[in-house]
Amino acid sequence: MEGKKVFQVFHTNTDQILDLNQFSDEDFSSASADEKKSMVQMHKSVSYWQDAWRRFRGNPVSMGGLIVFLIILLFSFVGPLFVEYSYEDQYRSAQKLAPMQYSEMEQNVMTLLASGVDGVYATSLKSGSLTAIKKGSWYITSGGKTYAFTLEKTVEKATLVLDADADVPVYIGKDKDFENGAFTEITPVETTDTPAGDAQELELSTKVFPHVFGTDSQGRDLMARCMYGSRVSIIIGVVAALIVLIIGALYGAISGFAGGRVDFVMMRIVDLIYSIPDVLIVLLLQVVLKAPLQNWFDTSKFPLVKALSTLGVGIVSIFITFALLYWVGMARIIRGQVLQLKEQEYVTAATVLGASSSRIIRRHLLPNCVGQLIIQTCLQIPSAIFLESFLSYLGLGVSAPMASLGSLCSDAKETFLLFPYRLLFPAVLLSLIVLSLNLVGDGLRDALDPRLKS
Amino acid sequence: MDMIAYVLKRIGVSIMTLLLVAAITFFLMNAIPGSPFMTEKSTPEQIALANAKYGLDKPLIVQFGNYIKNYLHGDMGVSLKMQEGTSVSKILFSQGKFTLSIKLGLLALLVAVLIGVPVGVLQAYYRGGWLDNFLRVLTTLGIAMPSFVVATLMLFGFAVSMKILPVQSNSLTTPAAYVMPVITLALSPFCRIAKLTRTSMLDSISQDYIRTARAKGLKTKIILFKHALRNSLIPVITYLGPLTAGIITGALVVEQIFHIPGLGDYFVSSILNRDYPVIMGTTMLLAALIIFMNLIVDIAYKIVDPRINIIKKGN
Repeated sequence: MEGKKVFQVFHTNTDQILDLNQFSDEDFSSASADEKKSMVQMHKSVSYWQDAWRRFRGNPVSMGGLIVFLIILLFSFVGPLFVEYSYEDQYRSAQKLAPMQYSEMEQNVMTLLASGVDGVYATSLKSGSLTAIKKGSWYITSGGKTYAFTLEKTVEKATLVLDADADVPVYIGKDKDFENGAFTEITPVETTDTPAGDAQELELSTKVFPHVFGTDSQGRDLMARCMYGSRVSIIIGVVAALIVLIIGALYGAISGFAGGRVDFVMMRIVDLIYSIPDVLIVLLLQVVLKAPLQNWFDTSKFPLVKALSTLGVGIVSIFITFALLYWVGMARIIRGQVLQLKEQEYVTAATVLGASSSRIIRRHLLPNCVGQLIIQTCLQIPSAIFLESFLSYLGLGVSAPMASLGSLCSDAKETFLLFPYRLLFPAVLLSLIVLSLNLVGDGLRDALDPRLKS
Repeated sequence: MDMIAYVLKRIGVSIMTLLLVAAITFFLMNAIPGSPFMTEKSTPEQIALANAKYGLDKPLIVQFGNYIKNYLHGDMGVSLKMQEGTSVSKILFSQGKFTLSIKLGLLALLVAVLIGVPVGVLQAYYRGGWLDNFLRVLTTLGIAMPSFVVATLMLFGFAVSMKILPVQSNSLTTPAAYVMPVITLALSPFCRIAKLTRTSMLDSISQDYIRTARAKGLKTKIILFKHALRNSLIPVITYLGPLTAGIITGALVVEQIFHIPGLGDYFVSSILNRDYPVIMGTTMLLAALIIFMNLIVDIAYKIVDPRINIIKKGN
């Protein structure tokens, strides 16, 4: 287009061409920084990770998955800081509550708080050793003031109320005496400004926390349990995936790098493990490992074993199962990669320079498989979570008082027809975790290994 | 000739695998501490007597040898606990457990394949359209939902709220009883097959021979179903092996939820009851099913796609 125009101009009006030769001084001033910049053709170099992140970001589905997963991570790891209930405590007055429902006692306390009192300590809303205010000296601090008092005997099934504006600032009402928004009978408590030497502080609640997901038959808060359960499930998934990563990557790399007869034998072993129907063996393993593991945990004195024993037998045997049976997929993929990579010049160069086999595998081959390693590990996590929930659902995985999403579903199955939400919450969480991780894994595959993009 | 050698080799490997499964199961099972005869009342003498009666006092290797020898003669031993004295083969085959599970499994397999493949083709055909996107979300969801969740949600929806399907399927006497167990079993494989078909359809569509077919002026439908689909079914065939395993795994949960007295349900309780011969018998049967399916798939794979050179070693 442009050329054609010039051509026409040239023929019709030659004077304009001559004008082109008339320059002003401005035309010879040096270029400004901006003008120079616009002439530079070089782009900033983009690293592998930046490139991958750019591609990943451009994939809305995977980004959505990542965001959902991050939200679940926040929910399960940071959420417990904001929920007053713990996963194992059984709250006496709060059994079988529907989502967002309050127990009768909690409603009483709410009425009290709404009527303008400054704080309450309701013993029936506490768990374990907190279910009573023991006899002895106590003090409360509220609004810059201190209220110290001494109890002659332990108080149970009662609510201690602090109402700074009232004539009697601190009083105790029996829970059963609560009618029409007030206690019919109250016991005033004499207070002083200065606490006794051995007085303990009593923390008052100023609000009642809702049971967002409801509670179970034992009065445990379901949201706290769901948070804890998804934490356990995610940790199981990540650790199992890491176990698979380490064993599979090393096995595959060694097999591929060694080649020849070693490779053949190692791969036949993989084929054999691959063809074993895993779930049948996994079920057996869960039962078999229980007693010896328990025995080992009880007798061993190594700190590492002690740490493992806090996880419980069920979880550790899931890890062992993964270490025994599930690394073969990873091993196959890494072997395939290594077979290609070991023909590269830099491997020859490393060999010539006298690098040992283990160094070549560690420093040259595995780092170059990093894309595959990340993709496979990421996809392994949801499958581990899946297997764990399956085992727990059959009653073989995590055992009480610990909880995983699978065991929460399993607990809920008996009473499912009466309390469907007890199954719904952990089930939805479980599905969301697996779904989001699968989506992230798919996105990672497209981002880290564009050749495979379908 | 190559083919026969390959088939023979694959059969050999399959038998080896089955034997390995038998050995693993046998030794694992015996590694469970305690004895199957241990109850609150039994004395050590009684346990020893019972052990002697069933040959459990011999060394493990001898026991295993005996078991394999008897197995090859069709004798799977007798149940020690769950149905004391009844032979395992009778429990597995004559009490309708096997038929029940096979019926359920085959039906689920058929549903998964017969719906999964067309859905995948449909997605590839309308690639990028709203139908494709909708189905893609649906299939991704289907894979992410554990079968027990699907089952319980359906129970709540169809059986409890709407009351159109029975809560317990029991022995699958009515057609309505099949609906929920089959859907639960088939959902995840169906989603995987649909995804697989979609991907491989899209892959085949971009091949040269499709362009040739188009250049010849063939109708899109003929190109799609006659040229593209045939080649895209190969990955689906290879998936049938894992699919069988998946359905058997699913059956363990599904049979428990819907109270179907099939093999899967019996297998789980036999492990918990530590009834050795029943565990062995069930594991061997289920493992044989899976291994047999893998064998068939591998052979079918070779027949369907002559490009694959199976005799060559390695990849």
